[in-house]
Amino acid sequence: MSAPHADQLVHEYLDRLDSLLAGVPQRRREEILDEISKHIAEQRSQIPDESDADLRNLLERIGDPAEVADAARDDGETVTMPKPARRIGPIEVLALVLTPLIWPAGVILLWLSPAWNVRDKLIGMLVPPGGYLFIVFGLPALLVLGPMSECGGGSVNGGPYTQTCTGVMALPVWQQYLIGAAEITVFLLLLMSPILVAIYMTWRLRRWAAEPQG
Amino acid sequence: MPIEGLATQLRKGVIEYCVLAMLRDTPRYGGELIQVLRSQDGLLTSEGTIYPLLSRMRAEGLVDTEWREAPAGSPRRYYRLTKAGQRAVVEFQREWVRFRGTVDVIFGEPGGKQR
Repeated sequence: MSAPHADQLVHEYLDRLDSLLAGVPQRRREEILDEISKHIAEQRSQIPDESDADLRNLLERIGDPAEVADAARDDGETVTMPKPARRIGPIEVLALVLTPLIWPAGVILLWLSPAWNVRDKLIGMLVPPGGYLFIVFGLPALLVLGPMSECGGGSVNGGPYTQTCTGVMALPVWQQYLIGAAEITVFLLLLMSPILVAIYMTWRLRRWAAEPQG
Repeated sequence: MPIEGLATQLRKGVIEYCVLAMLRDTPRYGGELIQVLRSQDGLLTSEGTIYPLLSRMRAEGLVDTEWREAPAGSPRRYYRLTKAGQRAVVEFQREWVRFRGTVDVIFGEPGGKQR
């Protein structure tokens, strides 16, 4: 009744449909394929002397596999097509680069972008005003000039040599060390904060971009 | 919109409910539904699309299925309305009658608000 060629045609049709149904939930995909292959078999069994033209007619009536697959995909709810991920745009990249370097520009971009939430944006503002430009050039100058301290000494009228100091230098030595250590710690923290903030922002950005568009 | 696209859009909006309505009185299998729809011009252009439709309506809980022996060959999946499917048919019918009335009025039934 049916030539091997005809079976081949049916087989190819179902194969194409199967691959076009990619993305449709497995159970529905199997159900649709099963129903259509049964439908084809049943219709074929009713054709007394099947010719190639009969079969082509039948497949044509059933429709292009692409059309059938589209019908399975028409409804967004029941189909699990992955949504495109969010895109990281120029604003996000610039904000990341500028926040640690040029403070106001970076932070403004940070607030313009939807990629970070309010908490992230506040953390982004933790970078010291001026960013690295300030830390590298401004801060050492402040530290040096800040606690104006000096010592002067000499002997009065051949008496014992005495030294008088003002500012930090007037403190006992161990306190001077303590203050020095604190200064270095603060300096290092300030030096690292833009990097830490930038790492945190990058991490948040990547998490945001990995979520489907919503 | 080209007239062909228009027909497709209209068909898409109603085909689901037409299939549900055909299941109102008795469970039917896919081939049977196709046979009825084939005689109705323009409702089902590609017959195979009925199966994704049925499968979706089953996933949505509007129909469920049962297997029945066929006179020959493998058993058939029969589709029947669930309670939710019955409600959907009733709601569609009410909505459709109102909608059709509105369109008819605008398209020049006597007393319509035509320009």
